[in-house]
Amino acid sequence: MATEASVGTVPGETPGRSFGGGRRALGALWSWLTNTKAGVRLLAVLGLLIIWQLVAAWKGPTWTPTVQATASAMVEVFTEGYVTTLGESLKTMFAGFGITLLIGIPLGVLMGVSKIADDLLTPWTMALFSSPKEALLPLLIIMFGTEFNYQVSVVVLFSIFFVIINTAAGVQYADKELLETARAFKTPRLAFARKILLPAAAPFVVAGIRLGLGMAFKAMIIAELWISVGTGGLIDQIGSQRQLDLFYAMAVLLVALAIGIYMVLNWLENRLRHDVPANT
Amino acid sequence: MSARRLIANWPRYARYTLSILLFFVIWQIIGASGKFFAITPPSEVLPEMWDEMIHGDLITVTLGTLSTAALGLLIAIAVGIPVGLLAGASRRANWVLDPLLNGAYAAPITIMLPVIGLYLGLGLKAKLFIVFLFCVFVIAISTASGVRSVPPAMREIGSAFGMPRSAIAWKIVLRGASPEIFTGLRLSVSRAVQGALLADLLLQADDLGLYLSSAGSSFEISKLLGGILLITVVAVVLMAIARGIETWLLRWKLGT
Repeated sequence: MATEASVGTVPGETPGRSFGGGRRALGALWSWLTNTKAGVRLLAVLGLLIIWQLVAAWKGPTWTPTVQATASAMVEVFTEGYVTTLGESLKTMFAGFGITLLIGIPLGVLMGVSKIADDLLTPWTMALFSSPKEALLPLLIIMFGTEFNYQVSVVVLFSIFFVIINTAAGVQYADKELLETARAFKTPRLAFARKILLPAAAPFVVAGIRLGLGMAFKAMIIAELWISVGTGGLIDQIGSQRQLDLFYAMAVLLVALAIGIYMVLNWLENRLRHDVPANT
Repeated sequence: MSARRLIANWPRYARYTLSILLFFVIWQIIGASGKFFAITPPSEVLPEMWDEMIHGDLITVTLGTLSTAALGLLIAIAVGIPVGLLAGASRRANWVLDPLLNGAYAAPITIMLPVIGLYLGLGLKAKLFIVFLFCVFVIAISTASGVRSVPPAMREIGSAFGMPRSAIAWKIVLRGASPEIFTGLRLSVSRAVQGALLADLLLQADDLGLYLSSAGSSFEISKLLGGILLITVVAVVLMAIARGIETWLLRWKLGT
């Protein structure tokens, strides 16, 4: 992230120029728009909205709905009960992610403290990371049907890697760096685990939760798209019926939700990291 | 990765092997017990997989999906690296690109599948676009962070010694950023395969996606498991190769 810059923020009295008051204010606004982070971002957002609107005007609503149409469809999303479907999907996702945490964190701790466990589990975390887990969709349908269990299994499969691997990294880091000091001060093992290991590993675990939850969200949509149920089924349906305003509204909502989850956990992670020495 | 290191690390590799063997033994026991309809033992899956590879079209469909992945990845590299360089080099570009790239990276790309046919059809173009979106953001983000990781002092030394700007760009900035760029590229290898398979499964059944979903819907479990096993092994090997190339290319850095 670039540092907030204040280079040339407000030109004020620019020598050699004599604008009127209104023009000067306009000049200052333009300068703010082009020289500050917030201004440039605002300009970019406006630019994107204008391009969207122009494309919509040019190609018509069968290609791209206008910004207003999408905004009023967004109201519909909330009033016509589409958010209820999303809520149901999220409930399933969190159930799956709960299982991910229940399995993933203990496995990560195990890999962090035991080298043998680490070696034995590494081929599987590697496979979970590298392989296209989508390949398992047809198998999971046969194993679990099209119900709750199927969706939960997809969510667990997609999200567990990040939780395991980050927990392991956190515990390994804390164990290696801090154990010797703790030994030197004769810290009891339980106190060490609770007061030193846990806070030191916490930001790593939260990083794993952040990445894992992001994957869980994506997995939920993939799982639902595959069998056309829930939110995935809903966007599949409105997409193929070409209700584009509604589709765009749902897409905006889902993307905002994904980014929101990411930002909240990122914030939490950074807060927890304050307690830990910066260099890992 | 020298032979000496391989030997020094033998307990680790022994454990890897043990773990994989153990998995196949458990799979065999569960599969042979016949309690689970959806799991046939490896003693049936492996011969079926071999047969499908030699006489069937398992290899053809796998290569089909992989070539979609490769082509989409190439496009993503061609776009992602310049965009990343721009975001890394220009503060103003980064103000705009940083939230866009990170937001797009966090966004569920698969939500586009229901409407992508409207814009790009259901053929190769749409598939390549999905693969492209799966890869381009991670490449651009890591390239940008690579460029930012090059200390400004390095550039200043370059110009103090009278290096031309192009030489500074190539020999200092790009080289300094290369570890992050390669990490981004390696990560995008597995993402490309995922994107291609997802498109082959969900956009329109094709190649390996068609192979797997038709095996699934006709309950040819051994055929299905064989396909899954092959693509898993191929993906893991591809990632290992990518990691090997990365280590080899960055040996100048690791050596110091």
